[in-house]
Amino acid sequence: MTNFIRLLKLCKPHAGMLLLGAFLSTLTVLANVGLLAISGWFLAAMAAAGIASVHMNYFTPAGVIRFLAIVRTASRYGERLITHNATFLLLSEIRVSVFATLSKLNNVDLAMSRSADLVSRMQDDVDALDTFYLNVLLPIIVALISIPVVMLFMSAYNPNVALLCFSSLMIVGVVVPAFLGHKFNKTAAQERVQSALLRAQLSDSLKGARELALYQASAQQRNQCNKASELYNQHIQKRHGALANSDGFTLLITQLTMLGSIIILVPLVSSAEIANVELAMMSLFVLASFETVLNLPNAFIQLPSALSAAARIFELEDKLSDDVDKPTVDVKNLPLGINFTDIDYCYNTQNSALSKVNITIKAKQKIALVGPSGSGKSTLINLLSGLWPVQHGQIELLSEQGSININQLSTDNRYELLTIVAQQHHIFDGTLAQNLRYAMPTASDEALIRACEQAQLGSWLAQLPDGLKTRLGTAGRTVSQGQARRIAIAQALLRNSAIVVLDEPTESLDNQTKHAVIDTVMNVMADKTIITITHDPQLLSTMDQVIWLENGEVRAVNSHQSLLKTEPDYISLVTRF
Amino acid sequence: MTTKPRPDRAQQIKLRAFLKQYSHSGSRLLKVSILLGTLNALLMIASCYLIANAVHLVMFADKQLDDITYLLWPLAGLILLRAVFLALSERISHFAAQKIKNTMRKTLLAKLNRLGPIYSEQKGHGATLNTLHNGVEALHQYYANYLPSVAYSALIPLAILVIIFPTDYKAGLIFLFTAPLIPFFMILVGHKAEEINQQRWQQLSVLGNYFFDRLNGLTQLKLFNATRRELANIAKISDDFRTSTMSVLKIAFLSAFALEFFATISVALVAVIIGFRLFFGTLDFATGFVVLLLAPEFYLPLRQMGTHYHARLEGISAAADMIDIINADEELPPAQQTKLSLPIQSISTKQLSFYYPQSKEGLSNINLAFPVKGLVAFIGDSGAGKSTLFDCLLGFHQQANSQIIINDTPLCKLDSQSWQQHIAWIPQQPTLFYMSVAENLRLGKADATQAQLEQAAIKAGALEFIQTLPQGFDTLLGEHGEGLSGGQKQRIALARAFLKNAPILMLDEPSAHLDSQTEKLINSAIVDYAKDHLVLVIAHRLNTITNADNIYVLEQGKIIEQGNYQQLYQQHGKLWQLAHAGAQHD
Repeated sequence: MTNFIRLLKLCKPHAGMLLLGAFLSTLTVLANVGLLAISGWFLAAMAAAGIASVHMNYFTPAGVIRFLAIVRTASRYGERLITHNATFLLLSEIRVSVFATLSKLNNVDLAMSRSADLVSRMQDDVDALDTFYLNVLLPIIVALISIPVVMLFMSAYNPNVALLCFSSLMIVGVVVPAFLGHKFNKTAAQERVQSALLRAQLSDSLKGARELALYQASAQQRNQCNKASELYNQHIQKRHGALANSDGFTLLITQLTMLGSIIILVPLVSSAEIANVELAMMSLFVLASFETVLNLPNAFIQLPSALSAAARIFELEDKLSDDVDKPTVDVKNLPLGINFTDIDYCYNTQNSALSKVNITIKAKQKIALVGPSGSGKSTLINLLSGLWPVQHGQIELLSEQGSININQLSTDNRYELLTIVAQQHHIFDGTLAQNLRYAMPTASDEALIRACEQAQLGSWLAQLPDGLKTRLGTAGRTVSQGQARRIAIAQALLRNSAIVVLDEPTESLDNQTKHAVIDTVMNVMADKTIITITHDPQLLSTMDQVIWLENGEVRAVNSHQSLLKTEPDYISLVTRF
Repeated sequence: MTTKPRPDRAQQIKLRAFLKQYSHSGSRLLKVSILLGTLNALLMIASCYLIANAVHLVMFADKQLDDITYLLWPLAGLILLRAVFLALSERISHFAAQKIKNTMRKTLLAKLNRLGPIYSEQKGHGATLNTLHNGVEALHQYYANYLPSVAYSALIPLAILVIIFPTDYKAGLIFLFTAPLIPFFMILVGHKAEEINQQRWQQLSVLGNYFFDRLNGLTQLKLFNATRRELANIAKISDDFRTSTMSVLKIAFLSAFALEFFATISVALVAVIIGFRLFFGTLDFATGFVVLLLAPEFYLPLRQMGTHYHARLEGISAAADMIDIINADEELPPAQQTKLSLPIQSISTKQLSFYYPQSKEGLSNINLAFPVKGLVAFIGDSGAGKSTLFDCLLGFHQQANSQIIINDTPLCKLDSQSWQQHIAWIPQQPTLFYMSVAENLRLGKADATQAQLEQAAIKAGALEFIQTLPQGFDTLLGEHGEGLSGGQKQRIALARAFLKNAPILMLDEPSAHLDSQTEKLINSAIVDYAKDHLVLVIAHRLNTITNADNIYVLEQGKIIEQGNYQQLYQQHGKLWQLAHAGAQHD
């Protein structure tokens, strides 16, 4: 319930639009109900008048029918426009709110291990909330307003029929769908598991196709896939079966209610307590009144999943701590050294990623971090960047004014001083210029082109028909890994910050490009403090110092050349064919 | 959902034919479902007659409740039957969709298997996986909802016409008179509503993609300190999209408006005409009431079909990806195939040349002859052709099979399985399948005993950590199973290969920097295995190369150097270059 209220609060800024949409929807429904009821009455009255051979004022009811028909059609049009507009407004509101939350959390809180998991879950959750207004909120509001109105009119004619009709509306609109929603919310989890299993099996058979062929196990794996497919579909079928049952049940209740109301009304007509024409009207009125709950079942079915999606999003929001460290100093973007003192870091109680790491990097020094995977290189960088919180020990920046704990810096200040080219570089869906300007929003086109040339993208850029306006990313031109790497380097070159961290900058570059990139980077960034993670001998030989990590500890600190002379293990670490 | 742009009209016809062709496994069920749905409609018509007559008798013939029970009881029965028919019809149509989906997936998997691993690699695993998983699921609504709704839109109005004509031909004429509106609606719904739906969903998905793309790159935005800027961007772009979409929808909804308008007008027309006929006594009330009750039902199926248009579009868009796979050319192996004669005495390639279509990369004129045992290493830059060469040797490139000679017989004359069963192969990133450790190992040898499993694990240095797993050898592996480190996966794959004990072991050495213990272990294990088997390795590590009996250096699809480490190092050629770059230790 609290989540529902929080969701409503999200809707608040657009309450006017949302309510206008609901008003028009209600109007449409009521006009439709009125139209049917009055048509029934009109026909009956005309027939009665015809039999009795009396004159009848058919202009008024015919006019009302015309009027309601126009109201219905017009309000339907307006309703569609307004509700769609409102949906878009709310959708934007939800996305902005989710994005704001996620951007404020540090990456450890987001997901300790698998951030891809979180993103895909967020995707499902935000998708589930996209239609919250249209599919959940709107039908509920419409029902809340229109049911009392319809009941008021109906009970004026006959309270018993109204009571019967009301009970049926509740069963069809609320009880059954709420039950289904509750049930589906539980089975949805199983369905997701089955879907994931099927995906895993299919993925195995594609990725492992060679191994399966060589182990003569392709047929066996295909069987596994078919089984997983059937199992998944059995779960889906359960859901559809339940929905089919409820559809049948709804039909049963609706029609029986009409039958029931006829049974209630017939003796009253016989005893002349009500006019005979009202029988025709009421039977149609009862039938039409179910329009008020037409979309309600779907709303209640979707409500639990929308609420649990909201719960997950709000849970993240609640993780945001209010006590933001007040920045106490402002460090200038001038050459800076870094001091890591007694850094320990544990993923959980058993796995220690870093222990007792002490490193001093002087201003403008060029150092390399070397070590096998899992040795703690990336962890160290994530601590420096502030993506992960420092658990133990401290990181200080060394400037001419003295040393400053990096936690005292504001985020803006920290990222002004730091540039990090991560190994997993994301190319955004957008133009090349947009991608580059994420690094430096104020950069001119000339600056962008220069950065591309420095990063050895010049000839690539020159042959692109749309130049800087070339669209990249999921919907655009695909870039090779080597190009992505160089785009990342171009971004780093644009940033002009005192400290630059390059994670595997030369990976997937061919030899010639590698040379050129290393040369320009070292040239342009001569007065920067550089940390690279690399095993590339060419790049290593340009570094002042190599810090060799193993199992979360510093194994050696020395120049590349001396390590080559003294450490056979180091040779095999950095020699790759 | 799909990787293709929206298909045009001609393609849509082709795709619908494809979807029809591949629905045979559920087509009978679909027919049953449609039959039940149509029966439901017939009962609906009957119940309208019963209601109208009952109301008529009470209103104008002064009948009591007792007098009309003979109508109300059957009515109750009809209602019950309708509920059952409706539920069954829906249930069966969904069940049919499940069957069709399963069959489609099965067909696609079988075809992909025949096409071989290279095909799906070139298409991209991700895209193929999406077609197999989400793509096939996207067919559900097409079969379960859209196809029946098409049938109903033709059958139900027809049924109403056929029944109403004998009762009152004038009322029938009214329906028939408004019937020409149906094709008009059809066109309106068919062209316009589809566009509306399409635009609405497209806009929404563009917006969604933008948002999730930024979410995926969130870490990077943080590092660029760009999250606040991006937040404003997201808000702005959402708003821009809203404005532009709304201006499109304003027009697009007009067609729906027209449809609603015509439907309403038609019903009103029916009501008014009947009203006056009643007034002038040319029609009895029962018939008039029936017509009024049936009028909305007459147009309902058409309007419902409109609501399933999105399902239709999703279905045929997904089909576009499937038709590509189903229609892909298979290279059928020649008919006459012999079994490989054992033991394997010689393996060689003769002027092996192979090029990928639309690419300059490949192999040219490779001549190799392998010994029966020993360690042979291949090195070269990425793209030099090492993996292609291995794929050729494994028999995955049909075109190259005639240039690979096993025991004096070209591979193309051999049953490829009889060759492949003598090879164990470990890629850079071995696949551990979603099954237990033991089952994963038993892929190498189906009838291996527990003792044999353990022995292989010891040789690969894997026993120790397998025993610390929650359920030991019974622990489930794979994406959703126990998370293993890269080194551990390598060792399980190695154990699997050892268990197979094939005369030939081919492996692409992990180029990632595994911990030095694993690297040493893998190295000594393969050197050991090479003592009495043939081991072919794409080498990335110095130790492997120094241990090799023979090294081939590849460049741009050609072999440029050959010999052992000492010889090649002294030649100061490519190998020297590669080694020298890192280790200037000599």
